Amino acid sequence: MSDRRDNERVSKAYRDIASERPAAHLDARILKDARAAATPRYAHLRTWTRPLAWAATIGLSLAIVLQVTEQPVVEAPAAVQPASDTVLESVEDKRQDQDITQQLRKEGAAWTAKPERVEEAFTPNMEMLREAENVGRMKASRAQLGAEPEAATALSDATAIFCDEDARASAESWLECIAKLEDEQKDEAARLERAAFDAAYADAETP
Amino acid sequence: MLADVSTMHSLRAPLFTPAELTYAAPMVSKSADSALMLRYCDGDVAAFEELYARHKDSVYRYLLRLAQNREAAEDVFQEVWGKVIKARASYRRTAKFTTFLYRVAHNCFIDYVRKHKRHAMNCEYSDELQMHPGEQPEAITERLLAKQRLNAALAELPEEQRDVFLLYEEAGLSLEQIAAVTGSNREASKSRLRYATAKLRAAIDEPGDKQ
Repeated sequence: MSDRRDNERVSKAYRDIASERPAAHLDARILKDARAAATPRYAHLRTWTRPLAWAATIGLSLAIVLQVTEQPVVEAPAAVQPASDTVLESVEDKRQDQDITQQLRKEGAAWTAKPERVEEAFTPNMEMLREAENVGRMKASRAQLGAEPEAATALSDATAIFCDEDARASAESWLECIAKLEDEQKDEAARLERAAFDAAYADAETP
Repeated sequence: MLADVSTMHSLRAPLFTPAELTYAAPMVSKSADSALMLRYCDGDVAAFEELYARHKDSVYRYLLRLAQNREAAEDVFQEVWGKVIKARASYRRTAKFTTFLYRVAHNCFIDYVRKHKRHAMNCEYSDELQMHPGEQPEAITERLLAKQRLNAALAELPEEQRDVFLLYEEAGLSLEQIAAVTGSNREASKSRLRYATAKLRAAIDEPGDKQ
């Protein structure tokens, strides 16, 4: 009984001396940390990002629907020159394929000669791949146009033959025809004809 | 003089009556502490503020007397509450909040001591006393001296005994809870508390308090 009373005396004595409290700056810092931890870091963003995302989605969907429904149907003219088109296209494709092959060979040589310059060797390859992809795309579209001759008329203006069969009969007459086109300021036609000429006379030296 | 077996049983009872317990968290609020912590886990900052207000003084004094160094106590105090704040994501009501809180405090202090090897014990405790109305200057002086003696006796206690005594007095933990906090068993905790109380009682009685 007296022990218990003594223990209570110890307790009371301790309570008398136990009056220390943490400093106010500690309280402030801890409570600030507690508030910061309870507030989600991106809570303020969440208030407007979701409505914005919905609005953007709806707007984009409407734009696509309007684009699809209001697209005008283009009626192409009927005039077509399928036979001559295919000749020119095949010549042009062949020339592009040759160029790509040559460039790839050069790049391959660069790879073996300077293996440490990987970036430099790789960048043109990417360009070549892109070009090859374009050629493939052109081929596909032309194949499609071959199946649909009416739609091909739009392309026929650009790839029409400017030097006729008689002019193409010999290299001299063909070159004369090309020169004539150049004199008439028909540069695009002259370029196409020259490309066709180069393909037909690959071994001949052009002036 | 050590207490006999009957005294040991008496130690299981609180050293004070609950009505007098004003400096430690009252027992009735213990279940509410966990609820407050869970509310804080859900983002209620006011719940944390209440929880902090309830326990900050006792945790601070526990660490101050354990470390006997104000700077160290403040460092550990901040770390303890930082861990409580971090625990909001994973807190589960598996034990009483007070047990959880003092386990964190105990472990933080152990870590601090390990990290700093030797922490200087140069704490100057506050000499402020709670004034009683109409108290004579002689009585105030006497109490001040008693305070200094008790502080000195607390400082001289072995760390384990001081830890158990403070957990008992400041946190109001039971022997089982003290054992859980300190990682020992109930009997060891009881023994340490008995030794600590006996030494402190002797220190209080030293200058002839006992007639």
